[in-house]
Amino acid sequence: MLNKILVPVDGSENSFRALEYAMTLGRIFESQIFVSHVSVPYDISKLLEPRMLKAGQSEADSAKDKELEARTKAFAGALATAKRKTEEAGYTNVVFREVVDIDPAERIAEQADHLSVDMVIMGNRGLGTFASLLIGGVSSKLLGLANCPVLVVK
Amino acid sequence: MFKKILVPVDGSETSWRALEQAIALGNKFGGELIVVNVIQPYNNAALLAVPLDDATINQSNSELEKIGDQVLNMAKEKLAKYTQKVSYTLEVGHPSERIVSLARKSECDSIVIGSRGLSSIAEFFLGSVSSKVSQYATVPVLIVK
Repeated sequence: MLNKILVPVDGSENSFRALEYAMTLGRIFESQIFVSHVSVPYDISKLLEPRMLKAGQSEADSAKDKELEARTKAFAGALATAKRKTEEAGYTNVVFREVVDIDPAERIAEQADHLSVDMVIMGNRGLGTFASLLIGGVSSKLLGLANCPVLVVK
Repeated sequence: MFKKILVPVDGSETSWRALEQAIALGNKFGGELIVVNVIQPYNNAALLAVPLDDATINQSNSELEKIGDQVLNMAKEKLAKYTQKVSYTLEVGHPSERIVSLARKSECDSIVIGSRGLSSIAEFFLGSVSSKVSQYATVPVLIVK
């Protein structure tokens, strides 16, 4: 029934929880898991959330920079972390894909069609407003675009 | 996982497809299904601009209840051969709110729902109920096209 599962990851804990769920489900159905990361072709460290831009305290500034740095790293290393997690879980039937595009939701939906996956399993909030500021709510867009069932994991 | 699945249905083709998915998952995992139809009474909806008297509202609400029961009966027919436990319930109120609340109250471990139901008012990619349920439910939500 579930021969192929597509799991988009963006480096957020939420997306890795989706990957865990996919592996648990995949073990039962002996599924092949496709882990996909769409990197956007601009410097994410230059993007700031509106909240972070409020004129304010200096401690807040440095804290904001650290958070930004952490998120940028998480996003950039998404696939590497995903690889590590599947290895730790001993799940071998997995393929990793890295794509560069300005519109992650479209690209992931296209992959789902192209690979004829039976299900997409994803988190509902990725790196939060940080990424969605420009990308515009990847999860909700993907929910609508995907032609196969989509499992949303919290 | 998928040991207690909440399946909201509204009579739309997508909701029946969602029910089929729930049946397949329930069969694989030995899961119990809770089938729910939520009717939204007129005094709750955005029809406040239309002046309706109580008698009309009550009549409309009882009509809605009849339709809700019909939908659940259709679900019963589709579940005639289902071997695990299944229950049916009619809820009244705001659909997404009722669904999320029922999932929590019944301790469901998942929700399987159609992406777009019968109402197609100003929806782009995704229905408002399925989108809200997927955001607010604390358990995984499977959205079926």
